[in-house]
Amino acid sequence: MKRVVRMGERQCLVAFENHAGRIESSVAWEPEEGRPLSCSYAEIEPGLYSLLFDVRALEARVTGSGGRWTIDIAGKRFEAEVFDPREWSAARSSFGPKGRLSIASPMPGKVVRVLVDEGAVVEEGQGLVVVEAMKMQNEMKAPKSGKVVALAARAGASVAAGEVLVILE
Amino acid sequence: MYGYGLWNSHSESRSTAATITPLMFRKVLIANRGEIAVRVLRALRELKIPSVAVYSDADRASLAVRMADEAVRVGRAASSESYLNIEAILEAAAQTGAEAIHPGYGFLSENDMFASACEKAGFVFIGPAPETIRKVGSKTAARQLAKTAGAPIVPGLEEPVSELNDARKAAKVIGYPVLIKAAAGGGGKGMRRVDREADLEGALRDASSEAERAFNNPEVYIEKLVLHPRHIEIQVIGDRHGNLIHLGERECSIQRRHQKVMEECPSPVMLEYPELRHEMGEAALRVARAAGYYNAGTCEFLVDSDRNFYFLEMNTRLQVEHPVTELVTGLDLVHLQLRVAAGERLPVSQEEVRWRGSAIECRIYAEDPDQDFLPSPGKIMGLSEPSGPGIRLDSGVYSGWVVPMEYDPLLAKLAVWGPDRMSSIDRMRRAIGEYTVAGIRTNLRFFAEVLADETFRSGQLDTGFIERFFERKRKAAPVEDELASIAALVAAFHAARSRPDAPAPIADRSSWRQDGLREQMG
Repeated sequence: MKRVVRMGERQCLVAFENHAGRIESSVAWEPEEGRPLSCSYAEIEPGLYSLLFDVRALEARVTGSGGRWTIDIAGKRFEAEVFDPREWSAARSSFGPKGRLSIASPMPGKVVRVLVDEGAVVEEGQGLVVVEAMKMQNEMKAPKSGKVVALAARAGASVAAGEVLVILE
Repeated sequence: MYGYGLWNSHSESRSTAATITPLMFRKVLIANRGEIAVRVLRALRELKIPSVAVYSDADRASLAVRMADEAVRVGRAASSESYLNIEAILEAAAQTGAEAIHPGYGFLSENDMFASACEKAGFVFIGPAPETIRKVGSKTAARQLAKTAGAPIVPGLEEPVSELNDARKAAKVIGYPVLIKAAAGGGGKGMRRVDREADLEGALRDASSEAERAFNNPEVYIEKLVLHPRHIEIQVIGDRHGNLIHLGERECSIQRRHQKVMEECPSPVMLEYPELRHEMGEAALRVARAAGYYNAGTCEFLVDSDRNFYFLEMNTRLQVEHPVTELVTGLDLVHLQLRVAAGERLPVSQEEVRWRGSAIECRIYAEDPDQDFLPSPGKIMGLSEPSGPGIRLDSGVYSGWVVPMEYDPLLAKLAVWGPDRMSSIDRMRRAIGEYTVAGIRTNLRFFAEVLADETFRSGQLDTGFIERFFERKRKAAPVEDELASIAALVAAFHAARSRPDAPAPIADRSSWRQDGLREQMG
């Protein structure tokens, strides 16, 4: 599984697999390469994990919901937002006035390709814009059928989190 | 039985049974909330005295209400309508048949009108006499009292000053820098530092108008500014038979916004100069005697770098940081408060008081140390509490409790005892590491950093410590890359599992549990 984790100004891509009590992962902080990180875990109570990195023991408590999490670990506290890159297109779309649907970038990245023109009529699930973040290309898809009434995305441009790229009507 | 002193005493053995004399109260009401209500409740239970808690609408589900024998609602969440509502509290005492009222700290604890209202209504106020509270309540009156009693005070005026010329003359005699302070003041309001005569006029005007706004009293006075002082206080306790003793000092120099957050005994300065404890103790007793003091109280002093000490004020109540004294003397201050309030004699003499080892307390607040200690009320989503050798936790919260925004955000007091200062510092670090309060922000991490700070560990403390500590921290600011990676992994892992459609490894656990059950049953 892959998740993008944002902490303050920094973000990383966490790729991990869960093998019956063991987590094998790679954590890549932008712009660095991924570093392997593996541990065994036991969930003591919901959100409270005992972790063993080889023999190094740590306990982590996670609280929160809706993609925003607080992690207490070894006396330090981290605030994190977690995104599933597969849900890129649905992540930050919201209805505006007059039934307009804004599709915003859920995290900072770079526009690689724009797949539609302004005024085009699109089907639900059709690709709109390809954005690259964390060395992954993500296709933002239309959450519903409609007409592209505004197109802010330009190929090659950098986008900030929350920046509206497409408006559908 | 009483304190550590008697363990080694060769004097004739006293009755050691903690029996309740006929004088002791049949029921006591606690006019407070939070951790101190729980603290007093525990003492009452140990003395087999039924307890009455009072609560506001915000505190119906509080730990104190859960633990008390009886509980009475005294009003709405706002403290002015509940914990400061004298009438409602006296009514609760009458309704439950309480004989005495323990005010805790804060709220009505230093209100002489409340103390006398208790006595008029026929309840014993567990604290000093109302006249005593009145006598030492005003800072200028307390200064005069201390001066008459022969305790050193910060050089300055005993009377408020209004004329600029008088102020000029006084400041010249005292010597700059001086401090202009509100006569009715507290909490840094109406206070101005003046480094030279040219600034005196403006500062006088500003301080006076600020004092007028804050306390409805424009009176200000001038005293010498003690540079880089330690804040050290002396605990006293007396009975109503004329016995009055001191229980040594607490170093309280670690303060944020003029409020203590960390206290210890012995003070590092006393470790170097043990005679200072005796000298300051005697000074505190002189002030307390002059005020006709009985029950527990505390004299606060400033101590400069040459170990000159100056009386500052007297707190006529139990202090938040009393556990520090209890841990090193082996005495229970709330037990003693109850006993002397019931008319008993102090069970320990000055010669019998012994100080053993070192104790530190951290005040665990729901506040964000990274944002200037801004309060952070809310629901506690998870709680891991420290325990083990030498740990004492006086907490008023539990997992699931919603920390109300109406009151002081003190969650708990974590105190440790160790044979010496370094051991208790390291023990406190260990305890802080075991402590997690999830769902809200706390100052736990701040303590972990202070305890690791070389200046703190060296014992070079003064009231400017926290400010300089943050300056040092800003310059250093290390990035904990590996821990951040682990936190990111945990967040990603937990978020993925928390999705309703995610394959739940939780099933593994429940099947383990079922296996376990089968084994047990088999």
